[in-house]
Amino acid sequence: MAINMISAFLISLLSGLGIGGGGLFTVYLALVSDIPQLAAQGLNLLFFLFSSGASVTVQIFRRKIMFTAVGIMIASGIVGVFIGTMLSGWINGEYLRRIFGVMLISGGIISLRQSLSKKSSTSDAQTREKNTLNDQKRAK
Amino acid sequence: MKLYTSVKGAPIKLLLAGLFAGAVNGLLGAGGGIITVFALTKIYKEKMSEKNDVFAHALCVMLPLSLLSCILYLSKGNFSAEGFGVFVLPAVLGGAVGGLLLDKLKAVFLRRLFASLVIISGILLIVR
Repeated sequence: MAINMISAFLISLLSGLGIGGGGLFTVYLALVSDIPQLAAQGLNLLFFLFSSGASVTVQIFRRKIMFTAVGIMIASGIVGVFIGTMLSGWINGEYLRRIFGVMLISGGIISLRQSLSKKSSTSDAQTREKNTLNDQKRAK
Repeated sequence: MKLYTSVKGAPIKLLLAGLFAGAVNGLLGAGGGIITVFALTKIYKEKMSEKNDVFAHALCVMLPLSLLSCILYLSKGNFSAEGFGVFVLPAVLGGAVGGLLLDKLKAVFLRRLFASLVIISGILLIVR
């Protein structure tokens, strides 16, 4: 029970950071129990509600949220959820688990590449900014 | 609002990204957040500052979508919440601590941590 609670706290911490901890709970359940894939997914959704609910409350008060952009994504997302849930009833759990695994690996690689390129573009921008400042000083 | 209108074609892109994120979340019970983070990063690129970063937006989008997915999963009898009580307190505490830490950690570090965890999870699921 203690291991479950500690694991849940750590996964939720990542979820609260907005970095995909929700999916990790599915993986945790799938690894430590014989729970069917669809049930693990359902429990993961429930888990995410508690963990991200606490974090969203913090974010709304502390950050500049673009509610129009968020609203558009939620509106179309609702339609998507109905489509996805309907499809989940037709696809075998084993396939779902593999689809999910492939999707996670692809998403992770894309995200890692983005973060690496973002750092190099940021340092490029900083170098450009320094060069411009040096040019301005020389011009004076 | 200024940032939202500063990108050409943003409404259509957001609409499609939301639809896809919702479908994946409904189908797999997770993964919509990854798509939302990826889409917002692509749409707004460096325009989205640390103050209103993609992770916070992704959480705001995914909370109602996950609630709907959860209700639909429950109504179809896909799972029961029996025995889930033990996870509630750590989930709420972890989420709140994570929300507070979001300001303290660097975005690049978060992205790398996110990407690494996602890749490891994917591999574990496939080879299990």
